[in-house]
Amino acid sequence: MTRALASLASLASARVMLAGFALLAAGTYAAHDDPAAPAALIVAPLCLLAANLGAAIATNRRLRRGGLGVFHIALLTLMIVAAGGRLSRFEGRVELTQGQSLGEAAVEVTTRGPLHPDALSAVAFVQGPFSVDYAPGVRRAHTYSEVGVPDAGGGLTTRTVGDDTPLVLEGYRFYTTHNKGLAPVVTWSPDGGTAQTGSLHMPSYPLFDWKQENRFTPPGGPEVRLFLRIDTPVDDQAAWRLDPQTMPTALVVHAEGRRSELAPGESVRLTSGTLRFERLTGWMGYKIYFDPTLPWLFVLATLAVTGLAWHLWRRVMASPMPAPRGHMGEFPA
Amino acid sequence: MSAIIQPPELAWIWCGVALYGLAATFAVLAAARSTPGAPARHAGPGRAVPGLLAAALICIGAGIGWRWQRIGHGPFLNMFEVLASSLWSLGLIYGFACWRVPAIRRTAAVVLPVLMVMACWLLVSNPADTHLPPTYETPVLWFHVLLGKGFLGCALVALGIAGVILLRARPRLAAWFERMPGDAALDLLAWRFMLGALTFESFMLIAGAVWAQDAWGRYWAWDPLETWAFLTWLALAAAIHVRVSWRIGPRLGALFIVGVFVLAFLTFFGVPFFAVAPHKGAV
Repeated sequence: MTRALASLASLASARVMLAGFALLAAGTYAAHDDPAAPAALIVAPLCLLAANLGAAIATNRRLRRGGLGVFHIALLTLMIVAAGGRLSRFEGRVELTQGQSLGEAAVEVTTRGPLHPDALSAVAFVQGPFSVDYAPGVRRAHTYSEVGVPDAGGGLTTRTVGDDTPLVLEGYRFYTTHNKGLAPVVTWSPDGGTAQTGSLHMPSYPLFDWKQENRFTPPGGPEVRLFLRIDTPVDDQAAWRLDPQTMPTALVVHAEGRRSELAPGESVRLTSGTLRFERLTGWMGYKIYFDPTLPWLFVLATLAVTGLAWHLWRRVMASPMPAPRGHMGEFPA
Repeated sequence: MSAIIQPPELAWIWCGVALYGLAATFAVLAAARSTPGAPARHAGPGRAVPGLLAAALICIGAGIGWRWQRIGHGPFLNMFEVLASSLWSLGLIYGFACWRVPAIRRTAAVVLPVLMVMACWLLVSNPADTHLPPTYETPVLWFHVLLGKGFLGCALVALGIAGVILLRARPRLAAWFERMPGDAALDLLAWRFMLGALTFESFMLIAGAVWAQDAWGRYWAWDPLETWAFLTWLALAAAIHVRVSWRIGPRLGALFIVGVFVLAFLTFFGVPFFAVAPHKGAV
């Protein structure tokens, strides 16, 4: 029993805490310098500090009382909850064309904690039209992305999502990003076959406004190269709005050694079928974030620092401020 | 050839910088003229310091206000705006601290030259107009920025006190601050301000995390400013624990305070210097 208490006291020592601080600082710097550095550089010192803090709270009565107690206990709980958040978090991204529904297969996962509950399949919404405001100098301002979320009546409720206005469904937070672009909708009608309609993602716009091209091979048809000729190029001196629905655009088709320019609704005849340019829509790239501990992190962090402020306030109020020697309250004369 | 058009509010800000320079010069001259054992004089350069500081704050505040009204947003974006707002807010916090704690008024000879470093930097920074990204259009930004000012303000006052402890340890400068309280009392006072700094910085990090979550879809991503703000927090927390655990002497404690302030200063103004804008990459 005595040996256990002695071990606890050793673990609670200020030297261990300072070593933890130093290791955490070194790990943080190393991880910042090299993003590929192992997470253990930060996780291991945090575990050491959590053990040190827990032992200090257990062995030092002062750390369990008043504002200082609130601070240290909330800080320890915060570290444990933050670790839980790391283990259950999910981060990913997805690109959705106007009219397309969110599908789990389209989501590119960037981080998935081992305890993540995997509820993304229960999330559903349909991408609607979007627009993006730009300030002079092609500086991106507000994004307004409309999405349709299924409601209890079997219909779709329209919500507007932005960079700073996430769509939150089942705990997953969807944020728009700078990554978005144009998507011409085309219909391929093979001779004697069934027509198929789909959209083609062009490179991100206006980032790659000079490279709006893509290629595809329709079923049973030749390879087709497609270019978008945008009649109103990006004006980098004025404010403007990106709205794929209203952009005057022609689709330039290169196939079988021929070049054709199609306005929306026009077609080009190829040897094995007809390619029709239906309309221009857009695609929007979303960032997906899931961390069920977010509200708890906020509450605990606020509680911890409020405890610290309370402790400080009581100390300041309890002891008088020192007075200068001699004349009081003057700047040097 | 087109002429370079300077923002109209610059005249006010430059006027404020000049007044800051005068206040700093008078504060140092007054300290240098202190004679050991002599009674306090009621006339001299030091008497002008509060008035000059107040006038500097009025001028810089007017310049910031004019710019704000002209471009439609507060001073949050480029180095010019961050330095100007910091010069104003730190001067205000220091003035308030001097009013509430008269014992620290003679630290002006340390604090005002530090603020002059920022003022000189302001003179050479680019005053071009800035564009407010939509991610900055949130009330949480206000909390984050104000708490940051509170943190650096408390650290600045502590730095002034620590500077006095260190400077008067040198025989040639001992007379400059002879009329201030003893080292033990100053040390206690300085660490109270450091505790205040820890509180403000902790709240600042929380407000920043709330802002980052809704602005960029993550509450913490180790961007350069976040990393260095966290390292500053660690250094501050470690320094306070060292002070509490080992009861180090006033001079060593003063060195710790100077170290933490330098780290905080580099975080506030050095990181944006190579990252161009606060939280570059996420904007």
